[in-house]
This record gives sequence, C-alpha cells and structure tokens, in this order.
Amino acid sequence: MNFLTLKTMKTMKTMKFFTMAALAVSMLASCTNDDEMESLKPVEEEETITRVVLTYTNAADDSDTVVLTWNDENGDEIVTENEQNVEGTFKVEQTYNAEIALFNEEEDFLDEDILADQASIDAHFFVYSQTGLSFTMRRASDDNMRSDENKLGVKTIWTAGPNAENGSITINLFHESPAISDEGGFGSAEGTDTDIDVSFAVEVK
Amino acid sequence: MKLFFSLVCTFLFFYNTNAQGCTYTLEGKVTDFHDNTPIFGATLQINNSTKYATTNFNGYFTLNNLCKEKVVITIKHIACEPKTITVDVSKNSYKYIYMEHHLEQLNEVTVTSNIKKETNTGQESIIKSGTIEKYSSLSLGDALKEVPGVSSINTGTTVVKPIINGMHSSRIITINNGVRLQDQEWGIEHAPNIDINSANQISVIKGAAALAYGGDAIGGVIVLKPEKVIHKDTLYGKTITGFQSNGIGNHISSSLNKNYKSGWFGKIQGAFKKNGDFNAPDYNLTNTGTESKAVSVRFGKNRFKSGFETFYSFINNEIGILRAAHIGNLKNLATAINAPRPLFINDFSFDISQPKQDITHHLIKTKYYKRIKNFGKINLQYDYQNNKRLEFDIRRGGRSVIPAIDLLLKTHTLSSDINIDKNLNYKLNFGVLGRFQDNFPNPDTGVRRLIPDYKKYDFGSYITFEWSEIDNLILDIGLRYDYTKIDALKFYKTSFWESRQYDKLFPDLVINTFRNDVLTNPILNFHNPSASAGLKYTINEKNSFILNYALASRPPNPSELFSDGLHHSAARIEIGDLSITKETSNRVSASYSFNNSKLSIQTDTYYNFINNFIYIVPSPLGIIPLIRGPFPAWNYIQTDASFFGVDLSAKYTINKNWYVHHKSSFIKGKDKLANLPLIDIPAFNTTNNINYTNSKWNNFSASLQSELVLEQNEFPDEFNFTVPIANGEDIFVDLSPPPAYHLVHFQSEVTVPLNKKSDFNIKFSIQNIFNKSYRNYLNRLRFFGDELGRNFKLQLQFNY
Repeated sequence: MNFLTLKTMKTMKTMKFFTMAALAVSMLASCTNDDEMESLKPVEEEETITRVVLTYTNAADDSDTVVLTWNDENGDEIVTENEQNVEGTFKVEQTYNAEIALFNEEEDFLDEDILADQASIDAHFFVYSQTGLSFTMRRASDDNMRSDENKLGVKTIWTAGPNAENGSITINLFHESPAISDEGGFGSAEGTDTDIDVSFAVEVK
Repeated sequence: MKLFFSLVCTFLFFYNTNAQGCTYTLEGKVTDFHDNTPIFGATLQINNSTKYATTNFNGYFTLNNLCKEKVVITIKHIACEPKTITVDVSKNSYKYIYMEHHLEQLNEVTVTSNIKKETNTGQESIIKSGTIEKYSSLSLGDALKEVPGVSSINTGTTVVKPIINGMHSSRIITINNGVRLQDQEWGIEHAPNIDINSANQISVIKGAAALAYGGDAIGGVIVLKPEKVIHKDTLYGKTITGFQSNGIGNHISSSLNKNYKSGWFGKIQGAFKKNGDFNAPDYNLTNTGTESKAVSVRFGKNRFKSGFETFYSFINNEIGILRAAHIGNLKNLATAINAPRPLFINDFSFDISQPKQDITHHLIKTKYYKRIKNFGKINLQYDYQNNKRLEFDIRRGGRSVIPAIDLLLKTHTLSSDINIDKNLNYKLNFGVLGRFQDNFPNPDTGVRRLIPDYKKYDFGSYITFEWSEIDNLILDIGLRYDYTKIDALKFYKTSFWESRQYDKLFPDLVINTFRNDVLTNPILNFHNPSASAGLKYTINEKNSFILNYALASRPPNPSELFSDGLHHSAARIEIGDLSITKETSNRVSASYSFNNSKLSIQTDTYYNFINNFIYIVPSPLGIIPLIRGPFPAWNYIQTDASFFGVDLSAKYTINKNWYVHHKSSFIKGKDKLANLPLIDIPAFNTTNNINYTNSKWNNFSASLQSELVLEQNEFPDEFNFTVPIANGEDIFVDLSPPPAYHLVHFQSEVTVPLNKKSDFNIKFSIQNIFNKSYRNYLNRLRFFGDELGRNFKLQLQFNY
C-alpha cells in the first residue's frame, strides 16, 4: 500500500463515489412499481381479424342459408377445426346471394378498415376459389367498386352445380396486390400479402 | 581579450551569487514515472541561469550554490518529454523528480499516429483511415469486408451486419470510441448504428481475445477509434463528398479537429448520405432508398498524468426495405422465391415508404484518467446510449404512418479500468463494469409486442496479464466474469403459454391473467466466465506466429428467449424458449505471418467449438395455418456447433509500380448433434487485385479487382419445407443457396498536394463493371430481387 500517495487516495475516493452513484442508479431503476405492473394490459391489436363470416342466402328463399364462420376464440390467429363452423348445406342449382363480414373482436373490421374510404377499398381484393365443387359465381351489382373498375368481392352471387358434391370454398383477402382481376367472378390476384386465407368444407345436396 | 572577458564574466558571476548568500544545495533523484528506475544522463537546468546538473548512473543530481528564491528547473532527457518544476529554495533540500520514459507511451504524444493493436495474441486486423475513407458513402459492415474472414449478412443493400468467422449479431461486440454499442444488435435486420466517417481506425479481433471489451464475443470484437490527440497547436480537418450512379446517391462528410499544446483538444464531425432506389441490372429495386444523418462532437484534455474526454454522437438512419419483400402469405411466397423479377417494380424514386426502418441512436460518454507514478493508469468512464427503433410496415386505414415496432432501449454503463505498467516487461490490467439497460416496446403500435419490456443488469470484472520479459516472445492471459440479470414483463397468448407447457414449467411467472393472455414476469440470471491465453513468437524478422485459446460464454438475447409470433420480414413464426441457457465457446487459433521485401503472407486458422449453441431451426410443429395464411414455425434450440476456417491474405510486390493482392476465406460450420451443416455460413470467397501505383503522377493508383464467391454447397436441405394445400398440389419452398458469382471492380485515385498542409484526393471507381445479375446467399432479401448492377462512383476529398 505504500505506493498509494495522497493523490491515489483521492482517486480511490472518486472511484468510490462513482461506484456508490452506480449502485444508487441501479437500485432506483430496479424498483419496478407494482401498480405499474398491475396496470399493464395486452396491446389492443388493431389489424387482426378474429372472426370471418360468409353468409349465403338463397335468392328464392330467405330462410335457406348457409353460414361459414371462423371465430378465433383464443385470439392466437391460428385456424383450428374447432373454431370453424359450417351451418347449412347448399342445394343443387340454387342461386345464393353471399356477403362477407369481418370482425376484430367486437369491431366491424370490414366497415372500418376496408370500406372506410376509396383508398382502403382500392388496397384490398377478395378472391374466392373452390375445390371439388362446381359453383359458378359473379360479383353483385351493388358490390363495392375499386378505382380500377374491379369489384371488391364483398357481395357475390353463387349458383350451385347440378350434382350433389362435397368440397371446399376458400376465401382470400389480398392487400396491396400489384395486379388483380375480377374476371370469372372468383377473381385472381398476384402478390404475397393476404389478410385472410381460409378454407371451409361444404356440401351441396 | 577573449580570455579577459571570460575571467570578468566568471568573476562577476561568483561575485553576484556570493553577494546574495547563495549557499543552498538541492539534491535529488530522477526516476521513471512508471517503475521508479533511475534515469541516467538527464540534465537539470535552472531557467534564466547557467546552473545545471546531470544525473549520474543512479539518477542522482546535485545543484550547489543556490540562492534563497524560487527557481524553475527544466529537466530534459532523451526519449522523455521535457519537464519543468518549481522549487522554493529556503534550505538544503532533497527532491524526487519523475520523468515519463516509456517509448510506447511516446506514441501518444508524437504526431505520427502509430498503429496500435488491441491485442497481442489475438487474430486482429486493422483498417486504417485511408481505407475507411473509401467507404465514406457506405456502412461499417461494407468496410469490414476488407478483412479476410469477415463478410456480412444483409437485408437489402443498406442493412449490412458484419459476420466474423461465420458469426454475427449478439456474437459480435462493437466498440465505438470505448463504448460498447447497445442498439438491439440481436436482430438480424438491425445494422450497427455507427457512422463510419467518425472512425479513424477500426480493429477487427476474431474471437474473444479482447476480454476487456466483454466475455461474450464468441464471434469477435470490432473496435472503432477516433484520431489520437496531438499535443501541439494545430487545426486540421477533411471534407469528403461523393456521387454514385446507382441509386443516384450523394454523400458528404466533414470533420474539424483543434488541438493545443496544453493537451486540450476538440473535434466536430458530421455526415449526410442519401440515395434513391437502387437498380439491379434488369430492374429497379423499388423502395430501397436511404437517408442518413450523423453528428459527433469530442473534446477533452489529454495530459500525460491525467485527462478527460467527453464524446457525443448522434445518428439517424431511415432505410427503405424492398417493397417486394413484404410477405403476408407463404403460398405466394413460394412463387415469388427466385422469380425472375420482383413483384413490385416502380419507376425510380427518392421516396422512402413502407416497409421501412427509422433508427435514431444517441451516445454520450465521459471519461477521466489519471496516471499514478510507480503504478499505472486508472480510467473511469460513464456512458449512456439511447436507441430508438421504429419499423413501419404496410398497414391499412392510414396506420402505415404508425410504426409496427417501436422500441426504446436505454443503457447506462459505468466502468473503471486500472492498467499497471510500471514494469516494461509485464502489464497487468483489471477492470469492473456495471450496466443497466431498459427496453421499452411502445404498446401504442396496435401490434402485439414480440420483444417484451425488460430491465437488464450486468456486472463484469476482468483481469489480463501480459508478459514480455523474453525477447521475441509475448505471453498473455486473461480472466473475466460477467453476471447478467434480465427482469422482463412479457405477455403471452394463453394458448401459447399452455401449448409450450409453460403453465406447468413456470407457473410462478404469471402475475396477471386476461381473457386470452397472461402477463408474466420472467427473471433470469446468467453467470458467464470467460478466459483467454495466447503467445506471440517472432522467430526472426521475417517469420512470426501466434497461438491463442479463448473461452467465451454468452447469455441468450431477448429474441432467443421471448419470441412468440409471426416475424413478418422472415415469413415465419419464431418461437423463443424461456429455458435457453448460455452458450459457451472454446476457440483455438493459430496465425502465421511471413514478410520480406517482396512478399507478405498472413494466415489465420481457427477451430471454434460451441456448447449449447443457440440458433433457430424449423420446428416439429411444421406449418401453422394462420388466418392470413400458412406459415412455418421455427424454434430457437440449443445444440453443439463447430466452426472451422482458414483466412488468408497475401501481397506480392512485382516492382516499384506493380503489386498483386490476394485474399480468401474458407469456413465450415456444423451442428454436431443433428449432424447438419449450419445455415447462413459464408461460402468460399476470394478477392484478387492487381494494382498499379505511381507516386510521380500525383500519387496515382489504380486497381482491378476480381471477386469470386462460390455457391454454398453445404446447406441443411432439411430446412426447405412443403406447404400442404387442402385439395390441391403441395407447394415446395426451396431456401437453398443461389449459384456462384464472379464480379469485377475497378478503383483509381490521385492525390494532388495544394500546399504544405493540404491536399486534394479524387477517387473514381466502378463496381460490378460487367453489370452482372447475381444473388447473394447472405442477403435475406435474395428471394425477392437481384443485387446491385453497375455503379460508377466519384469521390472528392479535401484534407486541410
């Protein structure tokens, strides 16, 4: 220790001060307020779709409906079988008016995020497809129109084929696709960004 | 006459001194400040007098016949800075005088800025200011590729993260003017927030040989240093400006230094860069513009015995991410992968729109040091960093202006080092460090937070010892211990919490439950020992070799621990693991260097074995059907991994005008448990230059460079996956590496002297002369577009 001069001691004191200051800072910082922890809530997700409902109503009979529903009960965005429900069956050669509805929890996602203004309409496009089925379809005359004169695909008209069959209907909602077309009713789109990509097993009797 | 005059003078002198009763004697000893060794042959001159003395072999001196007054004595010795002291002579007295006598330390006070390495036995390369200036318009990651064995992992063109011997992100430490950069560096698309123009010298140390900087540098350490302080009255600076054809980019950087003989110094530096959309040879890379602003200020006082420095740096980067790389659906991704053209190609624009990053980084440091005689140097430093990371995505309903990720990371560090160098033959350094870090992910984004709120506490201490008593041999050894505590607040989806069995493994962590979520408070503690030992042996003036062993351990980073959701830019669901422990690396390395007048060769060989290596692999969960489409799940796991490689550089001087330069690196990375090659390992690459220089033509130099990167043929094919499509054809997603490529570049420069103190330098270069289309395995956006096409660059530099 004899090499420690007075000046060294001074430096040591400075160091001690810094160490104490550091400890004080870290102790202050570590006091997480319990109230603060209690008040923490999960982020309200603004752009998540938690429920998709596609309702088909027989054009000739209001009481004949087929309703395809996906309801994300646990909020994990994963599509599981128990969250999907198909109520009703299609009848051969019948025409159905279909309308899609989308929700984020209780909020009407379709209204607020897609149909809110023309720019939002232009940013979206529904594409439908079928496997194992022989529906024909077109987009309804009162469907929303995009600026590029393609119909958005919220309201559609479907006609079942002549034979009983089982298959699936797939709903896709594209966001900001570089190219889309509503030709053939079902529509087609390029792009890698979809908000919805879900299939339902249905039956035509 | 002459004789007479002398006699008169002598008489007068004695008469004069005797007349005032000048009978006092000052004796004393002059010794070295560091180790107390006597200094022989130092002269002590009383100012404004002819009296002087010289020290004898034992450092003793005697000054006789001093009057009762204050005298100022100047002490001089070869290889020492002259020193003046004031002595109040009132009786016969004895005085100890200390001189600074270290040759190495002299470098600090001379104008020639000798290159000083950070390590003795590490595999270290230095990039000097002349090379850094070539990269003025680019990033740190680009410049580091000058070093063999260093490559980069990119997200597009401007997000460039250095890879050292196959490792990046949390496995690399970046030190900016003595401050360890804390900028969410764990993220693969988070480039270091550093303006390369603020550095004067960059050291790249492969592996964890520089323990003073941290024990978790499994990959390596990057040390950026500013100019050395010059002890003379001077004002100097430089301005660099440049233009490039690709992206219609321009940049300007300017710095001004002021130094005083007294040791005071100051520097101010600023830089601005901007470019619009870059071009691949066949199309525009839409939304790849960037804008960068940086300022740094440094001032302080640098004296031998003590000094201080305050440094502030600010950088803001706004970086556009290729529009075609935004992925929301994997089925479509499969068709986009390796498509001949990106999906979105718009006309050239300077606009930077979503997706984009906007990062602001502030760094402030203040440092004080004091040298204590016969002991060494004590350093004290406090630094604070504030890193704000905003990531904007393509959103709907006007939300694109709200960031989807909004992270604020604040870091306070207090550190102290003591360097004991009183003996030239050995040096002992030890240091302690305390760090507090607070991460705050803003919940107002309207997007679920993947990285939680956390507070992190670090404590570290190290000791290093260097011994050089035997000629031609240097030995060093170091030990370090770090403690890390992470105190996080994290929301998990209840379904995820249960499916991971966390409800059974960590039931105590839950502090609140919500309808679909649980709030948890994981508190994690990590103890990380590290060590290094090495020797450097200089066989003769041509040959030398280095052997080194380093043990390093790294605690897991927040994404490895806490990730639990869709990582948009990677198009996968990333799942962290709360039970991940630290990884431990054992690295042995050997370097050999040969130098003669014509040829110089440097080889670095290493083998790095990492226990509990943390990385992300496809999960057994496979493809998960999200409402927005199916995505593959990837899990962070731990395995044992090995890295083996050789880095080679060589230079051959043909004659006084021509030389050739070769650089190559080869690396193998393996998951030892799964017996699979590791992903994202750089392929064999080699760069060869032929250079012409002619000092008579205004220091003209030109070089033609060939860059060859082979195809990475070791890829874990198991990582490719198939997306099952209900009632349809399955879609195969092929992630395997792109083919080899060969590029040719040209560089030239002249330096025109303007006057004694200033000169003007002009650089002209062409990158990718043949406008070749290629894709880089280590670019995460390689699936969506080609790399840059031909680029003409003109850079003007004015040194004053």
